Amino acid sequence: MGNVNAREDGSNSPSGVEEGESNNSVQEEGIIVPDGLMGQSPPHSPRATHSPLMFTPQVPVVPLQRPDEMQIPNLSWMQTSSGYEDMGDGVGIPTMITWSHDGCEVAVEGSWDNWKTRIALQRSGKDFTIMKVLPSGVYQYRFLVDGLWKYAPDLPSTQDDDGNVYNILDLQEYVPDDLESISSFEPPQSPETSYNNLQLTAEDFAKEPPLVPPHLQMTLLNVPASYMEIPPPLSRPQHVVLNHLYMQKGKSGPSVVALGSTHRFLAKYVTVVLYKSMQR
Amino acid sequence: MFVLRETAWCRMINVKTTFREDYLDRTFEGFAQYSEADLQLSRDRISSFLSTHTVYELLPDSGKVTALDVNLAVKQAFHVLYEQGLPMVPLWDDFKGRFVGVLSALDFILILRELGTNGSNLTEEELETHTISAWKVGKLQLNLKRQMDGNGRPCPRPLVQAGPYDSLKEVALKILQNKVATVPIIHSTGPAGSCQEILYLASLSDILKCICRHFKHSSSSLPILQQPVSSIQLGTWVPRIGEANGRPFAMLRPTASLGSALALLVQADVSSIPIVDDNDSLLDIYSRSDITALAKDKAYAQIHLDEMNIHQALQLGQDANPSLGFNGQRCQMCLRSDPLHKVMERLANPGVRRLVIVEAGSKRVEGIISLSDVFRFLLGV
Repeated sequence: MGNVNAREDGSNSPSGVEEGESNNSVQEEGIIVPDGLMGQSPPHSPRATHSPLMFTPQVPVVPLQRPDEMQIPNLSWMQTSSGYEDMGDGVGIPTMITWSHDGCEVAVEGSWDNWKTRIALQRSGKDFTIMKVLPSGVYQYRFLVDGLWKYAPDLPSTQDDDGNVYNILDLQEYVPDDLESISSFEPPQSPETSYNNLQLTAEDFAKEPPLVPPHLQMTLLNVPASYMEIPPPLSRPQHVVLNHLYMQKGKSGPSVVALGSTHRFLAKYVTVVLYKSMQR
Repeated sequence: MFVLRETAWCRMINVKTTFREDYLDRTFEGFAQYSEADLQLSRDRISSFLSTHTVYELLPDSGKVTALDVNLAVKQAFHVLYEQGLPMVPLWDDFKGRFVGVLSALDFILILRELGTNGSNLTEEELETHTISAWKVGKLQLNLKRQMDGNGRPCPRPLVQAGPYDSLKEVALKILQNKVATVPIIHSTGPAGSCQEILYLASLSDILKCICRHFKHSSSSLPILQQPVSSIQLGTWVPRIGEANGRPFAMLRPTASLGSALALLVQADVSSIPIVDDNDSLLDIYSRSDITALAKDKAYAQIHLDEMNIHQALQLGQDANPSLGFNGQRCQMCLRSDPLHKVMERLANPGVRRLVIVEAGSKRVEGIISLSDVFRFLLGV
């Protein structure tokens, strides 16, 4: 295995690369393209997909309007005061609804307010668009194009029992990673030279171990434990900390070591912490 | 009393306060206010929704799972659960190279009761060296609804788990049939699934949240959701006077001892007990997961289960988490007249596993609705 760091919260990187000489492009957050090996776009810019989501929700936005229909009147003594927002009455997420087929006048109606209001879309070039701020959820909608009810065939849709077709908007609280742009992110080949497999000698151990790249400090494992009953959701990890093994000794007991690592599974990220006892 | 009951139908109009007034409500509610067709339609729709969506959808964008090695000492395990605020953890066996079980609040309740009994094999010092795997082996001897193998010896229950591509319906049925609360979601790759990657701990509340999210804005497609919970007889209700109901409803006073609460949790096979005052009004609720509060300042070492009462035990938990008060997170309530969709939305909140049905105003406990009650109803099992 690689160098073992003497520091408590050090990381144990599986690669045996000597830090001094090699280029750190694999671990850098920014995009460094050595010799044109990587021609792809940066890993997390969402490509224009067919999804109506085109905005990255950065900071939770206070909803511009709070439709009264969505509120369920509660008796005050039965108020559910959760640690964070109830789903449904939650933060509004801006989303764009687009009609990109022909027409002169386009309006949209949706289940977000129980089909009560009809909103006209604004024309921009060949497309008609409107921005809405809605809480996370699944909505159905359809377009009124020049007096006729239509649905957008290129967007997800569903059919009800009477045969009417509606478009579906599945609004998440986060923008899911575009799988193609991640899977095609191949780390560049390590340089051919500068490796050997000689045993480490006492001289090598006398030297200071190489410094941990500072980006590896951005691990989710160091997020302080929240004492709310429902902790707030973890933020998405930086790609640089994925697949590295972190160790923590002694915090949960004298002979207990915690091992942690963050991995990607398709478009989701999972941080696993395993507590083991150190056998003497 | 028996005679009066039989002729109650005729005497309905003249009923005085010898019968509680809600007996009236109850008998009229017996008439079906919803049609069987509505119920079947709603069930079919939900079933088809659950069959077409997979567990992968439940996974959060960025989630965290804590696991324990099966050779960790029980005492340290207890502390980890307390510090991380977890109700249960999956157990990893290095030697076998896979996840072999879970450690939950029930295990701690059993351990504490063992500690309390004289003549048990477990002492407090031993907790430091007693590993989880040794505890699990010893637990088999405790004879709690264990499966027997061919020779009549109790055999360990295999881990109930699911994969990320399983349908939500499969997972819900698995949870109901095995009577667990949480199912680890494990992605198995490699030859014969030998390489296991744990992704998430799924529970019925996640699935319910998914259902609510999808149907919130098209509630007309599930007509049964508008029905009040009393008309569909959802959950476990306090039996009325004169009713020959099988199961007694477990409730306790705050002065009852912690030992009796734990005994009741184990024997009645319930996951929580409402704590009520002398009028049966709801004060608080004691759940299995509250047991981890005893790890605070190693309270479990100093207390005797029969000397601490429930009120004190709950105080320990409150001190640790001052942000939670009663009427906040802890004790979610609802009325008998609340429609099913409202109950479902409440239960879909993470951390809420049950709602106590109370009478408006007096907060008298009338019943409990849990997540598994709702799912049994929706899936028709």
